[in-house]
Amino acid sequence: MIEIISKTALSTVQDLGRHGSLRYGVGTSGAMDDLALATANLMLGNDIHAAGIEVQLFPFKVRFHQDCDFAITGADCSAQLDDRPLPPWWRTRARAGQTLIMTFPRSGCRAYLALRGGVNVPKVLGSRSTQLRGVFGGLEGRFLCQGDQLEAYASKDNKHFDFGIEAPSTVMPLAIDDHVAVRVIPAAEYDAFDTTAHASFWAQAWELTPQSNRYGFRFQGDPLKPRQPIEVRSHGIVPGVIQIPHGGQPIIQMKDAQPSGGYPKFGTVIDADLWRLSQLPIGKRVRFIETDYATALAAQQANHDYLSEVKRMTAILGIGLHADCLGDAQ
Amino acid sequence: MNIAHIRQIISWMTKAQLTHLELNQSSWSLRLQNEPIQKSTPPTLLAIPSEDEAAAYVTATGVGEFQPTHALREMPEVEEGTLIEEGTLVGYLKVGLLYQPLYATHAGHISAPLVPLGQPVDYGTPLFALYTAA
Repeated sequence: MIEIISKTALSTVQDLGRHGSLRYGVGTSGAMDDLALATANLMLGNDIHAAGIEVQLFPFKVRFHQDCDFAITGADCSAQLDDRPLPPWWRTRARAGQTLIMTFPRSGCRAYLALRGGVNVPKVLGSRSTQLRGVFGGLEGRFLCQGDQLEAYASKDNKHFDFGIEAPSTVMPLAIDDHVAVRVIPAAEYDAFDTTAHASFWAQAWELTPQSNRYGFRFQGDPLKPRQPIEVRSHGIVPGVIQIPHGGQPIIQMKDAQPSGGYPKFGTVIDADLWRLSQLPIGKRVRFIETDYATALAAQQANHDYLSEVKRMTAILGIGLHADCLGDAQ
Repeated sequence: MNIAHIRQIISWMTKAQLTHLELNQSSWSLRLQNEPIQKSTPPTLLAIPSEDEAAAYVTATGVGEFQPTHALREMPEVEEGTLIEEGTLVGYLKVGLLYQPLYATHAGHISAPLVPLGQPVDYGTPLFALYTAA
């Protein structure tokens, strides 16, 4: 059992998402930085689909009521287990009574806390992710709050592992002029914008505004105007879709995106790069790189290869798949 | 089975060009994996204090690249001359994506790193000297 002892808001239970329910109007949810959560799970010998805690506001404090192996990944939040500083992307064991503190990140903005065996909350529509709009999944479909207790697997063996994994941001860096970059495939209404708008979109660094959250990221820059006003009926959209509303400032749908929308679609951030975007702090800027489907598949493969290598490394250490893991690959 | 035996097995593996070896006994098991790495020169040791000067050393607990600073951070885990306690994290041995921690085995004032950053090191290579707390 672990207990949330900070008053921090905006933290939720997430796994890799609730896929296959868009036709019912249910969005995917899931960890914004899916690569970070999957890595944390592999470090613990969990199924990559096991649920963990996504932390978006700091400081975040939890107390362990039993011995528990855990891993922290994502943003480098200068974590401390009692007085002991923990490096980023680290696995260790907490003893009963110890407190983990995750503070304001030095880099990135979303941190993940995974527990050996996974966070035990009920599965709804094939996932343990919190569906905030529908108020289900996760812990009662809501943000975690002070006093919440989450069931965790008690570590009773003597296999105490203490190690880190190199973060994907250093293994697979992607930046232009010191700005994080993500790859984008032009979408259906791309040609409704003229070449000036196209050039402006690719050339400028877009600033992430405070009107951004798990539903969507709003950016600020030189407005993008279509050749003529566009009226599009609402249609299906997915995380990564870049919409251009009337004001000309892009919105990128994120993991809690609604399943339909009617703004013109300028492009789509490739799924393999959404983890990069999810770690962009408010006020920082991002560059977009035009890409194609083949490159998107190659990027997906690169992410897959990274996770395979993490799994191989943990196997070398002797960390096998946790027999009681609450993952249940879909 | 001790470290000398494991070293002998590793040398046999290298001669035989084996990439994997696993030994299982009732009370222990050993898994060795030979990663093809660039042939490196023997570790370059910077000025190592004599045994009279240093009370103890932090040595490599295995084979890997010595990293006093985490790739996501700008500062090393410990600054030269700092008085540290036993168990303090002083750096890492990096093997592929893996960061293995190096902890101080004694308390004391820590030296500058004794090997260059990124240097491949072998088991037992001295990495830091620890001086008796005055």
